[in-house]
Amino acid sequence: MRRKPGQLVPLETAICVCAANLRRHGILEFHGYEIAKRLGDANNRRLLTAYGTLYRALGRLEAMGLLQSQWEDAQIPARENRPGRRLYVLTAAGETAADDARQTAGGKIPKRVARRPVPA
Amino acid sequence: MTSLLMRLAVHCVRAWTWLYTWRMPPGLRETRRFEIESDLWEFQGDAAGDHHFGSALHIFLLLLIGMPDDLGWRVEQAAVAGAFTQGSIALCGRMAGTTLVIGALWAIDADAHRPRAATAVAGLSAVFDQQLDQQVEGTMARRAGGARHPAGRRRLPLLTAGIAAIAGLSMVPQVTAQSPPIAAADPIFEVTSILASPAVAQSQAYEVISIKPARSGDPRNMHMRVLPNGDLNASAVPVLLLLRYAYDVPVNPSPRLSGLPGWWGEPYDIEAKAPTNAIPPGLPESEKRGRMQQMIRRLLADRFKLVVRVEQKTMLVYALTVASGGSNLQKSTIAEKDCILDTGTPESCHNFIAGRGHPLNARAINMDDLAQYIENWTDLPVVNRTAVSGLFAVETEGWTPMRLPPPPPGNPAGTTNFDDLPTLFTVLRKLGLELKQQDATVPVYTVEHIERPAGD
Repeated sequence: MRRKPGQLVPLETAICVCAANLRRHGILEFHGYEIAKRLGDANNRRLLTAYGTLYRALGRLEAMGLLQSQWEDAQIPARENRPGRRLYVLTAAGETAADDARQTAGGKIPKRVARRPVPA
Repeated sequence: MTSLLMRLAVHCVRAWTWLYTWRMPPGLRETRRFEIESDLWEFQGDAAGDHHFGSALHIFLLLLIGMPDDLGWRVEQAAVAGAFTQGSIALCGRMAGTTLVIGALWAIDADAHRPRAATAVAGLSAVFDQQLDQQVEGTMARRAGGARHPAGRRRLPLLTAGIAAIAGLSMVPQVTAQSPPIAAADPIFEVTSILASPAVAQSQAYEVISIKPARSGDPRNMHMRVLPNGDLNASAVPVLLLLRYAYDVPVNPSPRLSGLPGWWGEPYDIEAKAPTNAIPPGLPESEKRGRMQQMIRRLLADRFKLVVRVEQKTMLVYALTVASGGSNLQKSTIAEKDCILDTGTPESCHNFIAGRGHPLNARAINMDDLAQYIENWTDLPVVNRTAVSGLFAVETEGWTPMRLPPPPPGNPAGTTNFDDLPTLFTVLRKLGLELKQQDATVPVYTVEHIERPAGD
């Protein structure tokens, strides 16, 4: 499937929609594994999104200004004895993209949603 | 045994991540490795109560299916670092994709000739989807002591072939379509910044270039025009102006651009002739601009020996957003398809008409144009977070710049007084827009090397 500039592929749209749903439930930040799990749950699939596919999509969304990310405070993982998490937040543009996707498909994730990339 | 498998799977992921991030810029490399490490840790935590065999298989599948994207991502990085050209990336992608597809078809064919119970193969995608779930579920059921999947062993080659075929098919478009516009001019250039620029199908170069020290050093004679056919016509322009056009950086000192030489303000007269059909008629405006940027980047690399390092840095910025009451922007009467590429004409699309205090006067600009324009005089970088698309006509009064460039030598500072003008915040509010301070990751450009251009 050929990607046109400024268009979201279904996975990217799904991430935006999923992040918007999380936001509605008061979860503003999420990490890669968490969103993969939520996507899997939403599609009723056990198999998560593959590593390369997921993180490439997250990177693209961030570059398009639909997500922002930052590493969590280093003291937290040190205290919990685990690797640090890169936390993503849906931006206003990302929320708009999620709304567009919902409206376009009437609740169903569309095959493609055109978005103009936002300069990083 | 099972925990050994799990450890093996985790080590495979780590090894693969190490391999495809090998010799990448440290920032990108470490970010990806840490992120995968975190993901593995979370997965193992979740799978602690599950059977290790199923979890290990799950990790292997995530690894295998994601490999094309990992490679595609790496190729993008290599491409932007100047190791590949656009054409070679596309070729590599096609070759890799084709190889995988052929291999997968061979495996399917070999599998089909084995004696087995009839299986309806409706389509590769369907088989892939169905069997992937069955495989995982079947595996988990087996480990839980359930009945052995009757066709599990026989389906494994088909499953593998399906994965390979999907991976191969997905790789071709991913690499070719997502590849950023490559500037031969940019030995070091990161993908994320390019994503903000329009994609460019082919990197073009000017056919004829003439660069001479400007006959007139008077900045009032400075002008730069990019004509609709792609020709560049510039008088008394400093190299900074070329950088601004090529990389969308502010012309005034900015944290987003550093490393400029002391002679950055030296003016040059530049005439550059674009090849025939460099900007074919009918191209979208963004594509035209992307092609022009490519040609000017190449000119900078060839004649000024420019080497630019691009990093993504998180810093405090102004996010240009729509105010809570909604925007008051007026749609432009010019449609994007009717725009004419000519940067020398203030009335053309994507250009602002100059005035005291840099009023926001333009016939057809989009929100990216606005963010880039005001960033010339704001004290922080500006990013467009409006999510508003389309062209708008704007007309406002001038505003007090938050920062100004250093005065030219010999000219006293502060000759222009902007005290009677409103702030940018007030001006934007009238358009239903606002600036919010927030942290964002933005491309930061460092000029690693640049030379005065050699004579023609």
